[in-house]
This record gives sequence, structure tokens and C-alpha cells, in this order.
Amino acid sequence: MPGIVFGDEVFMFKSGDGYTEVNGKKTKYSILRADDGCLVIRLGNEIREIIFSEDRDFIEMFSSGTTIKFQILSDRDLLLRNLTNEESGHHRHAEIKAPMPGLVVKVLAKRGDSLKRGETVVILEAMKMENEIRVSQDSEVADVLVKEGDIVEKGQVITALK
Amino acid sequence: MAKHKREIKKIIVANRGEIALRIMRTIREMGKTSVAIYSDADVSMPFVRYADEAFSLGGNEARDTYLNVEKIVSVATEAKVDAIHPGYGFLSENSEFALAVEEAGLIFIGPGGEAIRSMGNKTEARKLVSSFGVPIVPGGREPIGNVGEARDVANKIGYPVLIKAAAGGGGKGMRLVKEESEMESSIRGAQSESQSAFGDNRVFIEKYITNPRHIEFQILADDFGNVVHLFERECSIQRRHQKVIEETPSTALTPQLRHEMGEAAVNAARACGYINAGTIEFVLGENGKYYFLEMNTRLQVEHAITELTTGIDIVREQIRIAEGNRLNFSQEGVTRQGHSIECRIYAEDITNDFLPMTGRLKMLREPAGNGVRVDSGVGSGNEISVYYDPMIAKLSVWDDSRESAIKRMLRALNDYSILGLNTTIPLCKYVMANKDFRRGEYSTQFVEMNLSALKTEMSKNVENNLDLAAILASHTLKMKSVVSQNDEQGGSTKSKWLEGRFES
Repeated sequence: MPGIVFGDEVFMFKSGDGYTEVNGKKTKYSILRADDGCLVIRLGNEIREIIFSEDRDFIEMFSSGTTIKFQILSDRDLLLRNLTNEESGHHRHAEIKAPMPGLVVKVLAKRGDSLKRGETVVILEAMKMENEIRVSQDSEVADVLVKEGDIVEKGQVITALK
Repeated sequence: MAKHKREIKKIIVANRGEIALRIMRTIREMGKTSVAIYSDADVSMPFVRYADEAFSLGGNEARDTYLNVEKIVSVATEAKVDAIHPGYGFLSENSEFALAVEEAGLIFIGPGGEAIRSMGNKTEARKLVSSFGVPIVPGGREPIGNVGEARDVANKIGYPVLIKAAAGGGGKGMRLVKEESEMESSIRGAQSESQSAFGDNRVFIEKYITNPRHIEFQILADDFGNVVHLFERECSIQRRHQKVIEETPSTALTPQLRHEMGEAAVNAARACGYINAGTIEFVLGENGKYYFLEMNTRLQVEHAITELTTGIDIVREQIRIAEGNRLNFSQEGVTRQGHSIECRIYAEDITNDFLPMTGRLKMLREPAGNGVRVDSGVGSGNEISVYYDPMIAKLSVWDDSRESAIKRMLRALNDYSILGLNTTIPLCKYVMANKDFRRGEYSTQFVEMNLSALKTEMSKNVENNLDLAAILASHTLKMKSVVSQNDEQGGSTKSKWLEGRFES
């Protein structure tokens, strides 16, 4: 499944003939016109004009008065991204937050544990993938704020570190 | 300025961007010839190709180009122009430039060098207008010598106080001091900022008016002692002490107050024997008391909303006055109709303290339609450079009531499509939709007070457009895969979709 990235948020999406599905919402559409930098689509009876510009990795998009900027990740890009994340560890703060909404499948750390850089704190299932949430530097666990079976929101604090 | 009539046939515009273009349009309407000057960075700007003649100044830094008195006067002489229009900013309020232009035997479209000098120094200006009965903000009128003196003045008039640059404008060299302990560092900061911005480190102190509104009056004055005002503009929506949205009429003025302030403005202009177009800025307190702030001795950025409501072309009047003509209307003859709002579209990053952005405008599509005026200085593909201010355009609307003008502005803002740089458009949309603004209840504190709500609103943009982003992303991926398949087959690098388009 490809994804779109806004800042540090990733949204996976499905797409097929005349539809896309993102964040649990399926949208059917047809393309009325496609030019360099302009896409006119029809959603049901509604017309949307999308004006866009591509610059290497980023797409800037204007529609109905709003401009947003994002990155598109193909399946291959995503695979690479996950590999690098796992190698480097992504969490450098005194708190570890959920990088995406998901289900806590396993809690591996407990209060008072001393963890080495790269050790896993919890395993979070999101978008049908298990994600190991790791510490980015040697640290002591001040508190674990979730338990197995919890549903966490994106940005919710999972673990406090010292 | 001479009182005899003299025809101006050819005018050099000593400015750039939207204001150069705006002035040249009027020059063309009057059947006169326009001359542009431009820096290297500006060679492909619309104002250069709009002009009848254009001269390169060479270089890019403002001091080498649009601030270079010697170079500009020499180009003007070479181009054999009759007059110079300075626009706003750059040399428009530089008395030495006005005098140099006059010495070269050319007409400076604006007040004489003397009026610029007396109004340009804020301390002198306040003394002068005060002697004509115009109220001024309580404070020391003399430049502050040292921190001790500053403390004495502040203790006398009471905190909070504002430190301002004597030679300044545009919020540069300005500091708000809430209590005595902040005074020393604020004075130092204001002095050094003033020194680098204006080459003059003198500052003065005045009473800070809480929740003030910024109201200004447009003035026109001819060589024959006729002075009229074209009503007020409210300019209270500001960020970093600089205006971003203006409207007229102001919701803060009663007819009585408007009349009084209009008269005070005319008196202030008379105080310095003012000729040509100018603007008297007032600060209006919550208690309805108003005070003279300063006079801008030039065309103002936000003059368009006055043009839309009075029907008077201010640049045309400036040129007519400079030709030695009488104003052909009296104060009673100036009428105003409907409501007008201006939004300034700057390349700025709202989420990063409104810092200017530079770069190329990849795509630009401007709003149009009934009651919409766009004064734009750039086109698609132009660069917003580091050398000058990051304004993209001024968007103004007119409609018969304030409520409908706000709706029209929202429509126009939503129609405005700019890719490549972040802009002040989200701020302008926020203001137009805000209840307090819609009720007309706001002050110069508005942006500061609403900034976090604005940022929250902007953060929802992603969520609200996720479906469209996904459609665009899948379309883009599909196009790329078509291109790469063709590449692998050693075929054309054009997509099948593109080829299909050309065949059909």
C-alpha cells in the first residue's frame, strides 16, 4: 500500500480503478481533465479542481482555497523507510509517543528498566503491521503509560523516559 | 513647488513591483510616457515589460539600485523625463532625494523636500502639528539621550510605554516596554535596530495605548492652499507591527468622530504647508480619544481601498497636482460609497513568526470578477528574492456593505491559487471568518491574540483534504509507472497519457 506523508504523519492509502481509500474513507471519483499541474475530478456530482506542482519529493496541492504540501511514498519507498527507521530508531525525546494510531500488542519495558539505545519498548500494531517502538538513546524508563490491548491515538505518550 | 502650470509628458517611476505597475497604468491612461528602472534581479518582472521605456540600474542590493539617488537622477536625466514618481518605500520619503530631483530640474511627484524633512522626523512632526491643535500621544517629544532619561519620561507618563525610532516607520526600531526593568535592554535594542534601518539611532518614548486601533486619513492638497481628506482607512490588523488588512469605512468611528478626525488631518497637513497626496496616521484608544501618530508624505500601500470607495484615482491626482493644477473638487464634493477591504498577500511563513519566504512562484492564479481588484507585482515563474520586500500582491474588494464585502473577500481569497511559497492568505481568510472581526470589534492586538487559533485551523487542512491528496497521489504514481515502463521498453519518455492527449 502506498502512503502520503505530511510532516511526520503517514497515511496509507489504497487505490483502484476510480476510487481511493484513506483513513477508512473510500472516495469514488472520475477524472474529467488531466494536464500538467491541473487535475479536474468529479466526486459524485461535485467538481474539484486540483492545481499542483511537483518538486522532487514533494507535491504542493491547491484546491478550494487550501494549499497543502506532502510527499508520496510508493510501496518500495515505504519499505526502505521502515528499514531505515528500525536501524536508526526515531525517538529522541524524553517521551515516546505513538507515531500512528494503533493497538498495543506487547509491552516489553517496565518502570525502572534501563534500556540500551535501540531496545524495544512496545510493539504497536497499525495498518496491519507490527511496529517496534524503540528508544533512540540509552535511557531509564520513568513510566509506562499503556498496557497490552490499549488503543492509542497518534501522538499519545506511550512511555516517559529519564 | 512652482505655482505655474507645467505639463508632464514623461515620468520615471523610481520603484518596483506592484506599485510601479500601478503608477504606470495611470500614466498610460493619462496619455503620458512611463519609464521603468530595474535591478538585475527584477529584469523579468511585469513592471519592466509594462513600461514604455526601461533602464537597468545594475546590481541588486537596494542601496545600489532603488535607493541610489545619484544613479536614479542620472538615469532620469538620460531618459529626458519631466518628472519622477517615487511610489512608496525606498526613496519616497527621502528629502535629499526630493531636493536632488528638483535640483536636476525635474518635478518630484510628491511634497517638496522641506515638507518631507519636517514630517519625516517624528519628534519635529509632533511638535509642529500639536501647535495647530492636533492631539498627540503623551510622551517626551525629544529624542532620549540615555536610559536614565528614558526612565524619567516613562515614570511621568506611566507604563506601558512604546520606544520608537525618530527617523523610523514600519515598526522598525520599535519596542513595547511594560515595566521599568525592561527599559535598558529595550532602549539598546531600539537604538541599534534604528541605526541599521535608518542610519539614525535617535529614539523617543510615548504612552502605549492599550487595545489601540490604527486609523489614518488620506489627504490631497494642491498648490493653491486647498486641502481635502478622502476619509479614513482602518489598518488595525497587523503582524510584526506591520499592516496586513485594511478597510474603509472603519467600524470604530461615529460620524462625529470621523468629522473631527478629518478636520484634524487637514489641519496637520496645513501645519507643514503640505502639497500633494499624504496620509495622517492616528491611534484611537478604547475611550474614543485619538492622537496624531505620524504623517506619511507619499502614496500609501493601502490607497486602493480609498480609490474604490471614493472613485478618485489618487495617482492621477498626484500627477495633476504636480502639474500645478487645482483640485477640481472641494471637501463637500468628496463622497464615499460602499465598503472596501484590502488584504496584503505576502510570501511569509505564518507558522514561523511570519518570516519572509523567498523562492520561485511556481504557479499563480489570481482572483477576478465583480468588485475584485488585484494589484500584483509578480507573475508565474517570477522569483520573490531576498533583496526586497516579499509582497506578492494587494487584493482589494468593493461591495455595497461591509458584510457583503467580507463575503466577497473570502470568495476572492479562496480563488487565489499560489504554489511555491507560503503566503498570508490563510491569515486573511481566518480574519474574514472571525466573529470579532465580523462584528467590527478588533484592535492592533488581533493577530497576536488569534495566532494559536489560526495555527490550529491551518493544521486541519491536511485532514480535510486527505481524500483529494490520495487521489492526486494515486494519479501521480500511475503517471510515473507509465513513464518508467516506457523507459524500460526503450520507448518515449512521454507518458502514454500525454501521447494520447496530443493525438486526440
